[in-house]
Amino acid sequence: MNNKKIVFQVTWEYMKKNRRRTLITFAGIVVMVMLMTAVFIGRDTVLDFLSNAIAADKGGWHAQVYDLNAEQVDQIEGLSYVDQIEVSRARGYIEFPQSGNKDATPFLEVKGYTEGMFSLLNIRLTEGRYPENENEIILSERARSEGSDVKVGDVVEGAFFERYMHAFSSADYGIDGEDNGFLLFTNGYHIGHGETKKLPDHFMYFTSNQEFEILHEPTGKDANLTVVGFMEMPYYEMQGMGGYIALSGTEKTVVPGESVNVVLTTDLRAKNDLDVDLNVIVNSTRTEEELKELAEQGRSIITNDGKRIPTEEGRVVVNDTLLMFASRGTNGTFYQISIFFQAFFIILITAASIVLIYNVFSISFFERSQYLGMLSSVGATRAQKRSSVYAEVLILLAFALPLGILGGILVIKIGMELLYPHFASIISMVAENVITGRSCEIRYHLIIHPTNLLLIVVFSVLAVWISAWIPARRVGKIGPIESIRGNDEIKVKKGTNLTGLLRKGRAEELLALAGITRNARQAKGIVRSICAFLILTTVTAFSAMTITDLIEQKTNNVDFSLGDSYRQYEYVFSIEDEELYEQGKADICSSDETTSYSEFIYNMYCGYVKATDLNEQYLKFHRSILEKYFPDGIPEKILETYYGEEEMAADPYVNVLAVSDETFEMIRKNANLPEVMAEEGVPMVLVYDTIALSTDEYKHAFEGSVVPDYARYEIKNPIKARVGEKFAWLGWDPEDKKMKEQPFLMAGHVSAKDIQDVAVISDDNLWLIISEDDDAFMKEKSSEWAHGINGRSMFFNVVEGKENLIRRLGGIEDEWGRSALSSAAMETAWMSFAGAITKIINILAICFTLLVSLISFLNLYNSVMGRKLARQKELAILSSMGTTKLQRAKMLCYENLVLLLKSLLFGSVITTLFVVFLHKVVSDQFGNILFHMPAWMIVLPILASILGLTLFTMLCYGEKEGKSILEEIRAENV
Amino acid sequence: MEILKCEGVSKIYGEGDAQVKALDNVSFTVEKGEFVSIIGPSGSGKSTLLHILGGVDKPTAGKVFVDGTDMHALKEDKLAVFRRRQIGLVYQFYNLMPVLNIDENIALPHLLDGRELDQERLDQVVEHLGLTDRRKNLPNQLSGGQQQRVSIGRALYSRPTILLADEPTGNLDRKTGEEIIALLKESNKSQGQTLILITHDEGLAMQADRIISLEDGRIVKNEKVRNLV
Repeated sequence: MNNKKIVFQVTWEYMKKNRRRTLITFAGIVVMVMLMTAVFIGRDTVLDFLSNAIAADKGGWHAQVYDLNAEQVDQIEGLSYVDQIEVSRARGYIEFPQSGNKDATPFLEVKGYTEGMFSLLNIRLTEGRYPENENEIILSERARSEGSDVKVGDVVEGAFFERYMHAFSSADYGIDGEDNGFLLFTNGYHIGHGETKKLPDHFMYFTSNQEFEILHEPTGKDANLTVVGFMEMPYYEMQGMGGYIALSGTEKTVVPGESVNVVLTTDLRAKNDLDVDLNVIVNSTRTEEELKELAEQGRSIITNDGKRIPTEEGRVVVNDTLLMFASRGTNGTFYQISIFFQAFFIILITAASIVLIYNVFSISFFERSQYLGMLSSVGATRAQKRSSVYAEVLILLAFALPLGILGGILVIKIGMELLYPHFASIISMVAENVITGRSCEIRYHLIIHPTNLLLIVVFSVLAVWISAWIPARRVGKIGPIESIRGNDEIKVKKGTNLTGLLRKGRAEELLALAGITRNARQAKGIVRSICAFLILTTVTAFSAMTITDLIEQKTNNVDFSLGDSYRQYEYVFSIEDEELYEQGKADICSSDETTSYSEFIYNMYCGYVKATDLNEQYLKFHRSILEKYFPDGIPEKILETYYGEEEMAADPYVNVLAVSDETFEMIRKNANLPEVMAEEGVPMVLVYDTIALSTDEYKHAFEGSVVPDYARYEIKNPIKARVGEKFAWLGWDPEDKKMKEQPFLMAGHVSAKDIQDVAVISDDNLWLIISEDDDAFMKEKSSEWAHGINGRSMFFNVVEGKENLIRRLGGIEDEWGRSALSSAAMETAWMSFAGAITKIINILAICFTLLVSLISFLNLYNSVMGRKLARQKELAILSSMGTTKLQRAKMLCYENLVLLLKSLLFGSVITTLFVVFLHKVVSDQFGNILFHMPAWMIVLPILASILGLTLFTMLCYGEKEGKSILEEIRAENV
Repeated sequence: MEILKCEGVSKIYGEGDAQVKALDNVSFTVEKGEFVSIIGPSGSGKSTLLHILGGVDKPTAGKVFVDGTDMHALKEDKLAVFRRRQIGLVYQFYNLMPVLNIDENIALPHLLDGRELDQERLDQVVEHLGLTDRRKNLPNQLSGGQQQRVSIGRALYSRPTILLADEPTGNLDRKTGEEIIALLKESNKSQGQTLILITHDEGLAMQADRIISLEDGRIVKNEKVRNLV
């Protein structure tokens, strides 16, 4: 038998003999590997799941490009990273005599799709098969649901046509005069008087009236379409569209002269700028003049090298929500965040594991000092002694690595199974198709990349090796006598004079302090464990909070959503027609089926407030942002535009929200604001107390500027005017064709908390809140001001099982055939996609924190147990000298108190350093984010560590019945 | 006056075939102030008997009365208090608290009893033990003999009724051993403390008032020394 075998065998025997410690070490390593696996595989799996969720909503396409000629399609196909390209053709409308809703939807809107397009756009059959040529179609189920008796095998015949609109002008009526303004439709389509324009796809059905005329222009092609199947409503189909969607097959080949749309997918590993490349191709057919005109319209994208590419709205659509999970699309922030925090969490896990395993090996070394001394006395070299520690590492890793990886995968699997319904419901709040119940199944798959497995092994081995290295060195250095005596660690520390306690006769305190100060190494293990627990839990929670802050502040774009009080309702009734609304409202209020209700009255105006009416911080931060775009100095012209007397482009955009008088009063009371004397003709306003400025707002604004790092500033209590003072609001006056000042009376600043019951509003703009009375005044003053989102909604709940009221209200429809009744969850879809993701991240962070806490608790238990085993004899001696249980408990309490204070001291210093470091790195990387660190994040870990230490002390030091002092004195600590 | 009474004490370790009878129906009494040596070969049950007398081990059968109190009938905490007030134990391997210095180790049982430090008494004991210049040292900074002296000091400091010493010189050289025995004897004489000494050294045993010989857990002799002489 060679010497390595002997060391290995002795170590193995020792590990078997000391089963409890071996198991704890083993569990620690397994949990570490599991956590690493969970982070690596979990991240990929969750990202994949989120991608699937988006794909399930609107399809797995990466970009759609409209109106392309054959050459442009070839150019796109020629991009090296384009994987799949599918073509669609808008074939036009045909009359649909079988329609069950001829008043609103009398046509079929026919599109030709190449084969792969159906799956890319999530077109799901409900009956029949997909069309194989241009003469076969599948029809939207909406047709059947609205009463059509069309079935598979039926044929729809007719001639294709395009729809045009002609807006009448004075001349059409033979009247002299100038035509001002234009006709605006709810989907943003507008047409000037006297103009004739093609109606866009999916436009609603109108018949000609006094204001406009609808024209059908034949395309020259006839249709003889056989229905071969039915499909769920495609995501882009809406109630009220003039035509039911019908999809036929089509050829992929694009002939010169025709215009098609393409949908494509790309290789996600490629880092090319998809948005830029596609816009360049789209612009290739434009003249210099056209490009200049487009640039003047203000929409453009900036390339990484600062070049500006003008874009036309709607021509290139990048599936940003899908691509953000793969660092593609127009916003790579989410991916960067996920990578950054993956690295951060891996470092945290590694650090936690190193502390745990180091502690265990230190304890193990202490326990084995006699056996090591014996080895030393019979001539074992340093290397041989060290190899006893390495042998233990090897044995533990050999079993822990595969088990940990399998365990980690299992944790992800179980976690995803458990969290899946929750994730799906969160996603469903933002994914339209899931909301509307179009049977979208969001799937998840475990994504296990071999590279990730390799990284897990490398990090685990590294962590364990580092942990074992210091104890192994100490083991090597220790001499035979020191080891055999076993108490070489105990030293009188300078400056720790306990004579005072001795004189006062305080035995328990004396023993506690002597134990901690003179046998510092043992005590350090516990301090280290508590510190690790405090640091890891606080830093993990802070990191999760930071991710949430990052995503919310960098990707959230929801301006306004309803507040908490409206989320308790199941139904919402809302219709523009005042008479119908009053009728429905009366029904809700008087029905005995109604259990509760609440009316939400809102009106929003847009305008500006003078930057000079805002506090100094606003202009300071505003200028800081512009300086980021122009580090070499802001050009004079821009300074003049933004801060000049003539034009003050720095004036912030303002939303004015009108609420009911009761709501206004309630918010005012919540904010504890003093009463203000109302003044005739001067609306009283509450001002939201935060406005944020970020570089994102100006990313398309400047020609020739650099692309700055992201920066964001929050300004608190922005309006300078004090309660009772006035400031001006600037609204557009269409009659005078200029901005008009309207004085507002400052009622005070209100916080998010003050208005949380009413609304959740974004701080990207300045928000002012006015009452219903002042709202009437504003409307009276200018109809233009009242233009925007406005209306009233009745939120209500009904007795379960009673459906009469619901049926009555459901039957009330607006002029487009839309029901006035909807699910309140839809209306209170307060969560943006970013919000949904942060919610998921929070769930994952809680799971992660729990697992990290588990490592830390194992560590703490191990340290407490190790210390107890090491001083078993001391405790027995104390018993033999007549120490009572109470005295022992008192001594342990004193010890724990001192250990906790020490841990809190060190823990808080190190945690602060970590938090500051994280803050700095995240700020450098992602800009000036406002970080939050709520008190619970500090208090909970402290309470948990107090509880943990007390519990483990009780568990480890709890005496067994019938235990003999003598046996304890004689016992070995294995 | 009878200070210790051992009545039919037996101690059995293990179960079934592995059962070992360490003590078998041992009975004897000790008078107040008496110096008794317990001798016997290895494995005869000497240490077991001493630990049962000291209340750190429990008999399987029988009773031990110290000053009329049935010691093993006391509940754990009461026994602990009884032990620290009535009994001083000196172990062969010293069993000092490694984290306490000499002063602290010696005064510990007294402090555990909730009493204030008697500095004069402490100085006296430390001086008597010849450890004045080492009193701030920890046990691992002392020689074996010095550690045993501390152990004796700890047993003597609070003036217990009975002093039990388990082969206190077993690990020491002859000269140091003699010094230790002299210390114990002096305490026995000057303080009137009852001293029970376990040893396998017949020479040492002969210095006692009485010798109890044990063999296979039974008393084979229980005689006054002068009779033996």
